Amino acid sequence: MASNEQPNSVHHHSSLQKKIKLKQERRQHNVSFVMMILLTIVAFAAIASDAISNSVAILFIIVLAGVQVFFQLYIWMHLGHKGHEFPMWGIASGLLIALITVGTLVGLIW
Amino acid sequence: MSNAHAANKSVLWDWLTTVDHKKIGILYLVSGGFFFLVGGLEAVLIRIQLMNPEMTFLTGNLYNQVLTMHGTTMIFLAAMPIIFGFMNAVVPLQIGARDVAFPFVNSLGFWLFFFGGVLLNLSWFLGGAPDAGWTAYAPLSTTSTGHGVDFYVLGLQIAGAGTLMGGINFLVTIINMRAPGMTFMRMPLFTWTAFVTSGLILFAFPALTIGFFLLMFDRVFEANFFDANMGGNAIIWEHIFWIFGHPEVYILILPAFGIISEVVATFSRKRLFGYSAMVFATVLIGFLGFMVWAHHMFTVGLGPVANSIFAVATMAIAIPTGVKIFNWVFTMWGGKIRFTTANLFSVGFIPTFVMGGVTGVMLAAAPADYQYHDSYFVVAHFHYVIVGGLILGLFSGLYYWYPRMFGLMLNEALGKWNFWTFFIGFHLTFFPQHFLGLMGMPRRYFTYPEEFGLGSLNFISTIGAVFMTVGTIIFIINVVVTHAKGKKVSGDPWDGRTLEWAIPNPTPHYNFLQTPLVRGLDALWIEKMAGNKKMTPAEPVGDIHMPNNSILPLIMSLGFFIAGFGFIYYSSAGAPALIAIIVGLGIGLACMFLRSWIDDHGHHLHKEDLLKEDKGVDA
Ligand code: HEM
Ligand SMILES: [Cu+2]
Repeated sequence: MASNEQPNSVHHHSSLQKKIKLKQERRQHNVSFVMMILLTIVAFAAIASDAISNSVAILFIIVLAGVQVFFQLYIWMHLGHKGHEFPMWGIASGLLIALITVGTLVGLIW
Repeated sequence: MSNAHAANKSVLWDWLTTVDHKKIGILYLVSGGFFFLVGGLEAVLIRIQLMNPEMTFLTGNLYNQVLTMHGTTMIFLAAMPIIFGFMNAVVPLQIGARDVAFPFVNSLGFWLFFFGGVLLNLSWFLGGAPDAGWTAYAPLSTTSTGHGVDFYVLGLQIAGAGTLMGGINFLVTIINMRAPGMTFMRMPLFTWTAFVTSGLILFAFPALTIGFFLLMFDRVFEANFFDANMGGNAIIWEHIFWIFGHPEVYILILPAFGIISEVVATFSRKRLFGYSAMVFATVLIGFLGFMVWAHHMFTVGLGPVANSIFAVATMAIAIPTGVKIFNWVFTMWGGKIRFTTANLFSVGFIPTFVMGGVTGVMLAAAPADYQYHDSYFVVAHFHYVIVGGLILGLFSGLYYWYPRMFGLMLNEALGKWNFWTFFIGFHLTFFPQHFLGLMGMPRRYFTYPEEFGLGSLNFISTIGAVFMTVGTIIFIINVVVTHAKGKKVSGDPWDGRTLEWAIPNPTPHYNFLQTPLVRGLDALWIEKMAGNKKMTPAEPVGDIHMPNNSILPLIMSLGFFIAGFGFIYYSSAGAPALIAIIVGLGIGLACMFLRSWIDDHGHHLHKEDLLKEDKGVDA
């Protein structure tokens, strides 16, 4: 969305600092990329193999999914960086409302 | 418009491709206004049928269609877009921004709404409109014959996607694009309500999207989510609908609260009383709005515990709402009140909305609701909050911001006629409906027998509808008269308090030549009190970066519109419908690809040209 940048936004960064940061980030990205593929394979294996019972496998892949969400949000979408307080608040309040709603709904229907 | 290349192209092309929030605001307003007239016509037809006992003017399934389309059109195609119209026209100006955060997405949101609305209304000409009520309860909706309900699902799905985009856009705009000094607690209340409403849209509309998908799968692909015979559960639809639906009513009313807060403060020549309490109440209402949906389902049989919890939660909402009412009254208290048309609508709003709130609390008493539910009492309640609340607020906003949006002042004499006919007509129409409900008249029935003695109150109600129609026609005349020979006004005709009145008239394409420096709440008023003629700029005059127009949003929406047709007819037409789906989605995806592929950096307005132009307009 190149044309949608806020007008007049100026970035002050010395180019050296920038380079170092970029290098660090690239390493993190590579690691998490490999990890995410591995996690996906493990999740698939857990379901595909008969060694693990279904209920355990489901719990297991839900945990793996949580880890994936973490990678996605923090590594790829930079949620941990400065200036991301609003997305944090947004996600937290969204989760809160979704939890209350779905929890109540499940309670009402069962 | 000084833009040399823009002048070459036709005016029509400019409107179809615009990404300017001011123009998109007008597009929303005009199309929402059009759908308001359509929904109003449907309302008049309903009132004619109910005027006397045992009428045969509009009966059976056709009555159901008109009733369903009235509610659906009014909520999704009239109220929501007009709110978005005001948000577009006002919010960027109030926060000192040059546009919204995502101008392209803004345009896409509008066109999706527009094509969704057209799709839904085409059902009238293609075998019949939806007939299962605006709530589309299963199994009525899943078993309704013909394609009416398919039009409802697909049309609203497309329009809803546009609304969701709009909501996200305004969240990002308000968070990221405020002028220097415009802290959250200095934002005008309309911007605050736009912010909270956008948050509610973000959290509530996905529930509706999912609900529509499930309903679509049940109807088009023979799934069984809501079919009890196949292990489904029809009650889940009601839950999903109201998990969306109750936040939706606050999505509608909060911006009206915002408008009233601006108008009352301006025309009392006073700072809004209890600003921070107002902000807190807005946020609290938004939050509580998610916790009360089951009050629409008291009679479903959720059990006494669930009913009690939801009853108490619902009543709790009346507290922050009451805070707002008192604050408006205290704002007027001791103020130098001017009864302009805008202020008349706002002042009329306050007691009217209180009445709607009182019946709301009555309905929230679960055991009593067993009597009220699905009767005309509920019809009276929600028209008091939606027409007496939202629509009066929207009229107030129209009269207030018309000079900002169009550079012209609506005629005040006609405006007063507009207010009094509409206001009196409104109470005449809906006040008797409380009693009709208590006397046992059920909602959504197309007639009633003579012996029930419901005739005279229904007759009065229809007379009231005539008055409201007259009021609306006066408004249209007012618009025509104003544009035919209205006077140009200055940029600040009301002696305003907030930033949108710091701009010359007509509003320049780039809004602010220099981004203003905000020094407190009611930013413009502070400068006026300090004896300054203008806002203090936060930057020197420089080149301004603006986004380019694009036709892609319109074409993309057209693609989804075509695909929508395909889905609607998939269950009966087979292959041709499948082709429409593939072609339509293909167009949509192709547009997305083009949007991502083509680098569009926008354009710059140059400092020299800007300075030359600035001399031309009045200050
Ligand atoms: C003090 C605040 C409010 C309370 C306590 C309240 C309570 C209720 C309750 C309990 C019902 C269900 C009645 C029934 O079906 O038996 C209801 C229906 C309704 N309310 Fe409210 N309400 C409030 C404010 C609002 C507002 C602000 C709006 C919209 C702007 C609104 C719009 C509606 C609509 C549209 C319905 C009917 C939905 C339908 O069945 O089609 N209400 N209200
Ligand atoms: Cu509700």
